[in-house]
Amino acid sequence: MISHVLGLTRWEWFKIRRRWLPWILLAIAILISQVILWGFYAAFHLTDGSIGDLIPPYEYASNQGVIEVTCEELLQGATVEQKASVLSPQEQDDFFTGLHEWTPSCEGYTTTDESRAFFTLPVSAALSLFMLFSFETGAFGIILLLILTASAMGSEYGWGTLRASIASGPGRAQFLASKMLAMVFIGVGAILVIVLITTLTSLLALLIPPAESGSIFLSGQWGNAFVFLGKTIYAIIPFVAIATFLTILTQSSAAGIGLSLGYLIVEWLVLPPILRINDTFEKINEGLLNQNVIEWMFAGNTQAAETLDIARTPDTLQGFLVILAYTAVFTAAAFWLFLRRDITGAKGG
Amino acid sequence: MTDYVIQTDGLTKRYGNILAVDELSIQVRRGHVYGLLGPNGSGKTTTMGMLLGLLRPTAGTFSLFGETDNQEASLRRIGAVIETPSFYPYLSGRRNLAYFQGISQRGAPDEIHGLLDQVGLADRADSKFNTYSMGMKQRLGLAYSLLGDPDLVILDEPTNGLDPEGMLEVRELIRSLGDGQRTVLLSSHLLNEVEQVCDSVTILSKGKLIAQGTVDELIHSAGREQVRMKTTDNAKARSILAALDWVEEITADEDSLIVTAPLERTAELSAALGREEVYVVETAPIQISLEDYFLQVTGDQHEA
Repeated sequence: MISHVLGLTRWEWFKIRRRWLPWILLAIAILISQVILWGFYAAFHLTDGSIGDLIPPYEYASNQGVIEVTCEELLQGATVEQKASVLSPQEQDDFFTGLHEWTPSCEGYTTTDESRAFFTLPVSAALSLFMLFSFETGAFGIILLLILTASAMGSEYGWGTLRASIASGPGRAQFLASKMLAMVFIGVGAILVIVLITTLTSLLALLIPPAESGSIFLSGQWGNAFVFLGKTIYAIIPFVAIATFLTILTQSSAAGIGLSLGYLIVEWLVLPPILRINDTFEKINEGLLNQNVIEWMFAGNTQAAETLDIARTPDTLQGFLVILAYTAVFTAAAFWLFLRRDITGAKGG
Repeated sequence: MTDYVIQTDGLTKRYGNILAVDELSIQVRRGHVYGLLGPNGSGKTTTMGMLLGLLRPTAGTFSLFGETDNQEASLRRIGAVIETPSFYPYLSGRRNLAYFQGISQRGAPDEIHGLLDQVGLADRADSKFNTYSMGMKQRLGLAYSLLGDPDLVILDEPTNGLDPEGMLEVRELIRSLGDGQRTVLLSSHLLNEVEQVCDSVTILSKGKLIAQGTVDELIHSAGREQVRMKTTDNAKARSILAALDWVEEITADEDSLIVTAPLERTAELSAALGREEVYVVETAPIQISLEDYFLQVTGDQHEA
């Protein structure tokens, strides 16, 4: 049974790799990830090291002249102490009181080291995935995956090839399983390709002028980066199930894509503010897929997530279970419908 | 090993208020070319769809190769094309066949070229399906249905879109498919096609089986032997023949009379007329065709 499904998955790949759509979607995903990486690279160099340099420094007028403290210096601590050491005790008190009041303006500021990490391995690779798959940043990767999945399933209805496929005897359940499995594999493959290309371009970014003298790799982040990669892969699975179910429901590529994106938008953008009306509804919010995907992906945060100030109060187990539940429910619904429904001729669109 | 490749028992398919197939019970014998004949909407394609597991019967049962379960194994012994052949438009004919061969696990990859050659598509085997003409699509459908040398071939209107030469070739191919142990289930609205190709025929109308048997059996079961007569006085002849109690019906057809009566008594008709000084100028038996029979039985059904 498993080998049969895997065999069918191979044939699914035989078909889909000869379509333009998956390659176009992959190119878009790569383009987005590269724009992000080179955007950080450009921002780093244009702002002389740190993103957020435009925040005016804290200025304290003393008898020794004006003492300036930038956010960069504030976050490094030692420099501030050194600057304050020239002041009298009374001036130091005033200096630190003023500095304390000014500190909130540095919220969200990223230091030079943090900014550099955005295009340095392994944070750059994790960041490219985060930017593609996070609901915080547009979830472009998920949108592309929904489009591909709905198109792969819906085209079978549109061209009428589903009838020929099922009539040739692979088994309905096996056929659907192979289709979903192929989409997950393609999603994983795309993620790995994006990571690989980001890896190569991260190295390139540190080698081309103005070359950085810092380390090419950030030590201590690799474990987090691999965990993040695994979590991203797990997080895409329910979206394959959702797009498959909705396309089987509508028996059309266009309707499947439309409904899948509609579902995403409603769950992600429309429901959360509505459900915040009162505490009871707020509980429902905690069960929404997009909320849990965010929680799941950033539980045990990577540096990239921290520096982007998207640290949550993560509940890994809840995120894991909710993603599993959505996958199970939509997969079961897709199979239930697919096994029972009549398969008729080509429907177009 | 059962003699019947397909057996249905009370097979019924209902779409809301529409009864597409109504308690259909047929038996298709191994090695026969079997025709499903009926006007549009008579339930031919729906019946095929149920046999192929594409449509769920509302009621009734069927067996393939004597088995009512393990449908997937049975389907791998069947090559089928329902309605318009549907393939992946962006793949070539060859790759389409490779894909379907792969998922159905039928036959060997090296048979594909031979099949494409057999249906006359070898030259365009590497062209994309969306560049094929209707006739080429039909040919590819035929090649697809023959993948893995199936025991049963189900073809729905297989000559649609073919030019006369192509139709002839396909009919010969279908006829040759039925040689030996392979069974062919063919639906067509082309009566002469069914008459030429099929051993046995089932006629459907409004989802109901209204006749079943060999082509000869069906024509003879019509029981309407007719003779066309041209006489010196058709009006008088009509009244003379009407008096004969063994003459069933007399109708006028231009300058002739169509007399429904046993053909072996044609001489008695002439004699009866001669006694009243009406002479037969011309006489000829009317050969009832499957088409006549079809129109007769489906007409009865519509009137009912």
